[in-house]
Amino acid sequence: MKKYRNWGMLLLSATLLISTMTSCSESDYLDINYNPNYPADASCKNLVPSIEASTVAVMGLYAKLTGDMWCQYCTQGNSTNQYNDLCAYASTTATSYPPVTSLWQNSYAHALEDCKLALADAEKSGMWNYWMIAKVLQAYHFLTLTDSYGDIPFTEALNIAEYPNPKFDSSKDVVYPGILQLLDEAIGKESDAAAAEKQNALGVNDCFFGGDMSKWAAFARSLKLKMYLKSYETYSRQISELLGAGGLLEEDCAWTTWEDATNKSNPFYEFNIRQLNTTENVRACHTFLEYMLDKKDLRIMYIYELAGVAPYTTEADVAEHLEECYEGLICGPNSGKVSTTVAPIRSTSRLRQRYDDPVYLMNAAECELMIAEAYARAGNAPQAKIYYDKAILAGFSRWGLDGSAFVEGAYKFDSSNMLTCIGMQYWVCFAGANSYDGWITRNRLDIPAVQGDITVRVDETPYNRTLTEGYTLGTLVDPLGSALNAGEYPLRLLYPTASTLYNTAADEYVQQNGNSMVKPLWWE
Amino acid sequence: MRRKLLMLLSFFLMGMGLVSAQTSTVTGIVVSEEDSEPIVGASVLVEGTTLGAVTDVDGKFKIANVPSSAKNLRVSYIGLQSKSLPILFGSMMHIVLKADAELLDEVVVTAMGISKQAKTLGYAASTAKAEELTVAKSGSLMSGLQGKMAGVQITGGGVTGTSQKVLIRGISSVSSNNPLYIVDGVPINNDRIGNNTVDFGNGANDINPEDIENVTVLKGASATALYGARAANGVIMITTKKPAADKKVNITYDGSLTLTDVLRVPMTQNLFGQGWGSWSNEENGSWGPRLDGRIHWYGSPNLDPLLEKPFSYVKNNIRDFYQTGTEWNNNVSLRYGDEKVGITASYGNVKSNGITPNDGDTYQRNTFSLRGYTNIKNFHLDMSMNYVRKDMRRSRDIYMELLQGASDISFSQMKDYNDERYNPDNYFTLYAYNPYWMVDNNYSKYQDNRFYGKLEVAYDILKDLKLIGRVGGDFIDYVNRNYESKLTWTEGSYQATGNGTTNPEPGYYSKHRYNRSQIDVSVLLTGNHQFGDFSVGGTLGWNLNERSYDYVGAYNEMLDVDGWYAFNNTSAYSIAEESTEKRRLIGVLGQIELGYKDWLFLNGSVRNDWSSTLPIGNNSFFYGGVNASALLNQAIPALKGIKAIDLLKIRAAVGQTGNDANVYMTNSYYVPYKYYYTYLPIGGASGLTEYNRLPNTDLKPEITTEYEFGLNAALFGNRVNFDIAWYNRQTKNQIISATLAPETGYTSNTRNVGKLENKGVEIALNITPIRTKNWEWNIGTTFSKNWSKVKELWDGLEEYTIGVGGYSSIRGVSYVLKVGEPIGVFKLPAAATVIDESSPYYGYNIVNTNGFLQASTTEYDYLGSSQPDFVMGFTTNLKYKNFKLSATGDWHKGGLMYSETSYITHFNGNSTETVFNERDSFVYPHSVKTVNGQYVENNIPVYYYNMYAAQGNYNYNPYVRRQFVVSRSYFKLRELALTYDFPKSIAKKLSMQHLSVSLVGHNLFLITPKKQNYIDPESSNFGNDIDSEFGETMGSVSTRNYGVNVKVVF
Repeated sequence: MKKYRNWGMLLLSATLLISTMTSCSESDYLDINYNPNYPADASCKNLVPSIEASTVAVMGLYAKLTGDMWCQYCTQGNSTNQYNDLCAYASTTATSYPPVTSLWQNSYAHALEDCKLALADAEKSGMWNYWMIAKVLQAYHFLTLTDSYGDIPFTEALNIAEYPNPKFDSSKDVVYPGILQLLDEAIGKESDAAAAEKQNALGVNDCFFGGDMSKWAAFARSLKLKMYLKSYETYSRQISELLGAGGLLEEDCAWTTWEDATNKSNPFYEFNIRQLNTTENVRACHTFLEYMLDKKDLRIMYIYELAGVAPYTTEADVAEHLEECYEGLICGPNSGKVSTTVAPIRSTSRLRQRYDDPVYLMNAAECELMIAEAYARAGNAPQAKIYYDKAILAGFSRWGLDGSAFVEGAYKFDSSNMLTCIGMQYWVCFAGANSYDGWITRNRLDIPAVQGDITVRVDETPYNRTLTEGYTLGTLVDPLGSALNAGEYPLRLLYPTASTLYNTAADEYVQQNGNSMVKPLWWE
Repeated sequence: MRRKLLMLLSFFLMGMGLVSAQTSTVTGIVVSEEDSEPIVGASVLVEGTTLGAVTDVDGKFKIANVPSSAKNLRVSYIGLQSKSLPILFGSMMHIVLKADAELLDEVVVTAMGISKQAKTLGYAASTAKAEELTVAKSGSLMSGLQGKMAGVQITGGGVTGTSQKVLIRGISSVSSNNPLYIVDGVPINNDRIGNNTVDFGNGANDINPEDIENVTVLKGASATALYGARAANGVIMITTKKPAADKKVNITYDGSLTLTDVLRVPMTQNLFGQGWGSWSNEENGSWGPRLDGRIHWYGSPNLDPLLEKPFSYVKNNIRDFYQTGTEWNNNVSLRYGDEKVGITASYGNVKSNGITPNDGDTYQRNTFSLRGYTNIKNFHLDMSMNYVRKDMRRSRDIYMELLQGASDISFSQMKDYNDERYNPDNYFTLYAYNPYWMVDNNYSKYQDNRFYGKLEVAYDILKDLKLIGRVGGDFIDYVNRNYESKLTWTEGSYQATGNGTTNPEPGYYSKHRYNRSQIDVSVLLTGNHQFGDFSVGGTLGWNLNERSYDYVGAYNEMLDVDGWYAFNNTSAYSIAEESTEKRRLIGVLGQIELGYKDWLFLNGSVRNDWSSTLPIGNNSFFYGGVNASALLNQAIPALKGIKAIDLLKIRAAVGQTGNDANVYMTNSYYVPYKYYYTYLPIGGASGLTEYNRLPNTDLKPEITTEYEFGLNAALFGNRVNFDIAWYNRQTKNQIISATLAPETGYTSNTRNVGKLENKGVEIALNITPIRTKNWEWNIGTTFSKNWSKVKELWDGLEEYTIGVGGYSSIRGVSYVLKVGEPIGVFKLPAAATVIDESSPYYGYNIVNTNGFLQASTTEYDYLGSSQPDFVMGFTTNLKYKNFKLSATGDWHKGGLMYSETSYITHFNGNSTETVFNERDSFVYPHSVKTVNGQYVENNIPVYYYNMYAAQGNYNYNPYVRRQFVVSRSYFKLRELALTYDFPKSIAKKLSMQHLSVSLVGHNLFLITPKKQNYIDPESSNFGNDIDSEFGETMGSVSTRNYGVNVKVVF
């Protein structure tokens, strides 16, 4: 009996072994490798807010910072070092600011990938309102990419199964026409989108226009205008058609619903003020401040903080004494400023930053200026003036100011020099808004010009506003310690190693075409 | 429970009462064969009774009341062969013991808890016994092993309870290099708990060293193959103390009190004082003028009177901030055992208040352990239950505040941060906080409850066949709380108006509750049989392992009311978070052992695993190993006759182990958008984004293949012991997160890549030059050298960056795998030089318009590997009569590490390297500037007032960055202990079996190369895996301990 029991046990264990062997590889018991913390699926309703957030995340942070520094609204403070390289036009192929890696990575992997998924889902479920936003933002991201880098993966992007190494398409011949087509597709769905919106309102899920599809269509048309203006010669016919049809955006496209809580406020404020260990980095730059002081432009009060030593505090007093209340620093990184006459930090103005600063994709003044520019290029001065004046007013009303005195005053339209007037107003209106577009627009128009190898003021002695001999107000200068040669200015971003190291097509493209910040884009 | 204890006690009494009527006294002397000297302390037992004695200082013994029925005496002594011989009543017995030449009886526990004789092993296994582990009473198991095992690198010299890293035979995996810890046959969790700023230790810290009988380290793949997927990096097998079946009750008390102080703080320069380019009242750097000893004001200009101090060097300003810590370590254990039942109960308590002032750094560990066995007929039950409770508090980020002080500042006078002069409003510098304030206002608390243990039932089916069932479990629950005080400055105060870089703090509170658990079940069928000259053994087994991890908690990043740490104390949000994961593994295994004539042994093992983390349908992997050993001194007749050779063994092994993936790599999912400081939901909009990791449905396990050869010899009556091992380990199909170009829509792909190679030699040598009646001296040394090489990566890629603490580089220094190079080399941007070979200035540095060097954006320097050239350990024991002196040291030669301490002391001008050229102005030699696009000889001076940039800041001089990568070489005196064993006679008078007192010291001193005066090279706060090889980010200082220990056995 005992013997049998022993053998029984043996048999039991042998059975156990064999049954494991045969059943393990397919068993439900082991089929548990699904992340229980996150959903395996997402609908366009989930994806669209993410697309919008990813759009403002990089545009409102690293791109804004780059625009602010490169348009010379701001410069690095001289007691800290955070943005030295950025100020000096120094860039590697892996930086976050300028947004070499961050823009490429965020646009492709977050925004555009989610657009692709959202479009597919919205099409399936007939949620054309979600579809239209995804489509417009898809175009917006491709446009920002191609205006930043030039030729980019477009036709083979975002399809890893077929194209693990997406090739680079010509910005002029493939990407631009492709984006225009995306925008046309979006505009063409406006009525379907409006109908869908009635069924399934976006509400808070659309942080730019609260689900107003006509505004999205207007934004799409203004994006088209923005693209056409890159090459008036190529697109003059399309421009006149677009102006004729109307329906362009004439208001801000901006995310405004920020909260005063960690990682829920304006991304630049969050990064630079709330989370960095100092708030002193970003200071007014001589280049822009001296120009604005010269124009007695009250927007200074909304763009910069009072200097620590300002003798006035009430709004009225400050407006009267702008020159005594605001002070900038010489353009360039702290490393460029090492000299015996360093301006004390308290004598200078910090960039004004608030948790609820909007993040703009397009600002109202810019919208009007684009129309003004289109008319100006067509030689229609009266129309150009109308929209130019609207732009001035819009630029002031962004801060609740009345700019009418400037329309006929400091910024009076000069019909014999229309593009210069418009170009300078682009520069002014991008301060405090989407300054990254300010940089791109400056490169398109070459206004303000780069004077090179000169400083704005003779020295950094606070409140000694003596300009350097030969310097023209309203021109950009070389930052001290510039990483580029004298008079050179960054015209595009470097291709990131995030692409060139891991995409053989990218590597090949860079081998053949080089990777330089000062190589003009096709429309420059 | 009470009844059981009573029963136990009655057993004990019965044993004492068994005295038979007819008795006599047995006397004798025990001597050593080798030198005929008497042996002191040999144990003499009357077989079949509980009677016995220990030989005295003359080697003599006397046992009274020996029943006339008793036949044999058993005499034994460590290092000599035990002997059984008939009792000679009435005459002085003369007993000669031979050297235990062959270590024949040494049994080691191998994979799956299978005991084997050491001589039969075909692979390297190092064993350390209890007395070696607890020499210096460090309170930590792995500390006790440092320097004692060849090929086993143990690092961690930090504060009590912080984590230790164990690397066996180098780095062989990019994902995990942690060995598997096995306690009494079941795996335990060894995860490290903490982050870059605070370290709550790793799982193995919870084992009370006083509970341990021995530790065996299995190094090679052949040795560990049976353990399967997690044993690829070696196995540390811990065997706890078992009751001996001697029917005796033992109560042991072991207690120590040690004092702790700082071992290493950075050495600071003593030439220049407070300032930044020029003197400044508000600076925390030492870039000011030359120290001249004059009285100078500093700090807030609002104070009346102003703060004043001599403008002179404060020698120990960092060291003096710390206090002398105390650490109590108390252990009590009770043991009883006989043939049927045995029990061990123990309690251990470690209580430490560390070197951080006040209660900045406290640790308390309570360990309860209950282990025992019963044998009922054919059933053998073995169980162990352990409960651990720890409470810790750790201050965060204070070290950084200390490093950011000028060389002429004395921190210790600022202890009272409520004093107007040193409070947050008026702290002297605008760029740091008062470290004493930080201690009390920025800290973490930790508390856990851990239960681990096993239950094992063995059943003897036949004489040679046994079925074993074993269930092990390990369950940890812990709570982690973080506190940061809300800090607002008084309006108009020095700090509020200073525009410094310290910000008002919104306050922070978080609390998370974690749960980690592991269940491990094995069924084993083992048997063995002797057929003439051949012995055959075998094991068949089935194993199931399930691990889960879960946490839930929340954090509040903006406190409303200061001092109230709660989630609802905010006008914004407290964010709740949670995560859970689970993995399973099933394995079947088999092993066969063959022996021939006691001199040739062959062993083969195979295992197949099915893992839940691999793609379903393709989740099975098979591997195994073969090894052989031959005792040449028995096999070759010519050697048999040589008396000097006690043992000569050669061995060879080849094996494979597999390693599965981390959880959730095989499927895709969506996550809330939380990137670039923009975390949804915002303004009521929530959203999901695709998690851009391409799921891999072809994922294969990581496979390690290892060859190993060894030679083991014991010579001259076991006075010389020698073991050498050579191994070659290849790890392929590393599971890594490979980067993808974002334009594909994905940023990473978990995949199998590459091949890493580790080849090495391990030597262990033990010599006993003196062994006489009163003296015994032995010395041991270990030597290990590992050559590592990255053989290939993937798709022709030349280089892969190993992330460090979530970053791809720190201050521009990255840690990379580069094909053809050793594993883990440091990479940093080179200085910009003229790269046009036709230029007359080819190779010259290029300066910018201010005369500073610049970093190249295209060229990089590779500085070498983190891996040491070799590692040596030294141990020695010197015994004279009742005194014993033991020392352990270890020496790491070579290897590099990143030091953030070097960075910060360069940045603020405290490093001794920043006084090069006494900070005088200079022009860079061999450099050019650019004029109109042409290179011309540089003549731009770098002025003395800009040395903070040129010598301290890597942004202005890329060569400064090189000084952040420092030598890892060191020699450390690990342990020094002097023990006095009280003579039995004294102990007996105190009714004790044993009484000893020791003076102990741990990590007493550290020697590093002269230039490396920053840190203890063992400090790292990047965990206990490959990240930590990178270096340190100012986590904690290292400490030394010294104190006294008392051990009593009743």
